[in-house]
Order: sequence, then C-alpha cells, then structure tokens
Amino acid sequence: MGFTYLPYERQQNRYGYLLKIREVAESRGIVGASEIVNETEFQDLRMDSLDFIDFIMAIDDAFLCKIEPDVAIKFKSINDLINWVEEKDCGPFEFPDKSTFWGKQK
Amino acid sequence: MTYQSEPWSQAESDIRSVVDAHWQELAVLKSRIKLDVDWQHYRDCHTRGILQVTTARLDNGKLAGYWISIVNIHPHYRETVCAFQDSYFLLQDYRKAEIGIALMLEMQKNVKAMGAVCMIGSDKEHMPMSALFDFVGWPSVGTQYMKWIGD
Repeated sequence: MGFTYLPYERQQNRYGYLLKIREVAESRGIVGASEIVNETEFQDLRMDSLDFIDFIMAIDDAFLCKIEPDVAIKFKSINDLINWVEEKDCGPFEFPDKSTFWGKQK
Repeated sequence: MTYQSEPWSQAESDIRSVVDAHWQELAVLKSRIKLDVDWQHYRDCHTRGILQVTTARLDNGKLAGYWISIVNIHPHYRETVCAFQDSYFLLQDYRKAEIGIALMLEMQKNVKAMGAVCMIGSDKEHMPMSALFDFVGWPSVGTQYMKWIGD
C-alpha cells in the first residue's frame, strides 16, 4: 500500500491543531499533553464522561466552534477531532508556539 | 460498545447482577433504607407499555450500563407524555469518554419513539451529573430534597 503525503500547508495546519488540542488538555488539567498524539483513542485517556465533556467544551472555546453531543460521541481519536476541526475550518485563532511541542530546543 | 432499547425480560437478569453495586454507590440513607427491588413492578410496567430500558453493552454482550425510564402522561398535564427517570447507572470500568453521553442520547431517541416530549431526571449530590445533563441539553430546573421521618 502506498503512502500519501499531505500538502505542506495542510500538514502544518493539522500540526497546529494538534498543538492547540494539547494546550487545551494541559491547561484544563484534564490529561497531560504528552498523552495527546494523533492516534490517541479517547477511550485510552483517563477521562470519564464528565472530563470528556469538560474537554469538548474547552475545545469549543479554544477553536471558536460548537461541537454538538451527537457529533462528540463519534470522535474516537484525536485524529477524528482534528479532521472535524479541519473540515469546519474553525477559527481564526493563533496556533501555539511549535517549539514547545517536543520541549525547548537548544 | 453498543447502545439499544431492550425489553425488560431481556435486561432484567443483567440489571439484577449489578443492582447492588448501583445501590452501594448511589443510594442515600443506606443504613435506614435497604435495597429490596420490587422486580414485579418493572415487569408490570413493561406489560403496561410504560417502561423503557436503554442499555450500553460491550461487543461481547456484557452489560456496561443502563437507563430506565417510565414513559407516561404527566398527571398534572394529561396531554404531555414524559419520560420520568427511574434510574441510570454505568459500571465504573465504563465511565469513560463518550459512553455516558451516548447512553443518554440513545435513551432520548428511545423514549421519544414511545411518544415522550419531555424528560425529567436528577442526579445525586454526592455524584453530580450536571455537566452531563447540561451538555446534552437538559437545563437544571430545581433541586431534590429528602428527609427521613421514620423511627
């Protein structure tokens, strides 16, 4: 099976979405940022339904969007959330500093 | 995980197996009010067509949670069919992410199919669910009070 690369700009945007989701998760103390990568399944995070709601509402605020409950329950992974944010073209907003993603570089 | 409406006869034995855990965690005044479920009452409600049971089950069929409603006219408003929450419970291992939300949304679909136009539910002060109710569009309309007046 071949591997399809996304266009550079789209890759950068999706990377920015991921950083912002990590920032939201960490700032709300819901889960640690290091637990948030594209493949992360929500079921694997230590979130009960109330934490999940807190997380989704924080995403609403951060991405200037409204995720309805029937949409939220279809998100199985962070990637699903990124796909939704991308499709809805949420924003505008500022992406977090990418240098913080893997820690400060020397 | 799957979410579905079930006839009482199908769900009863599984609910029986977890009802003690439900009571231990959520009941109040446990030293005075002992668990003694009137199972026949639920069978009767099912026979009368006013019982709605929505379950969450693992793919292997194991019960993860349930929401039981009585769907009937409101005695004050005879033209209004309401879904009165009887009880709801998710086993601790399954209180993850979207499961509670999905169970509520499935229950809403099921009681609506039975003619309900209004749903009435509550939570316990020692286990507040206001965020969940609020997220799925149930505004808070009051507070429950309880007083023991037995000997």
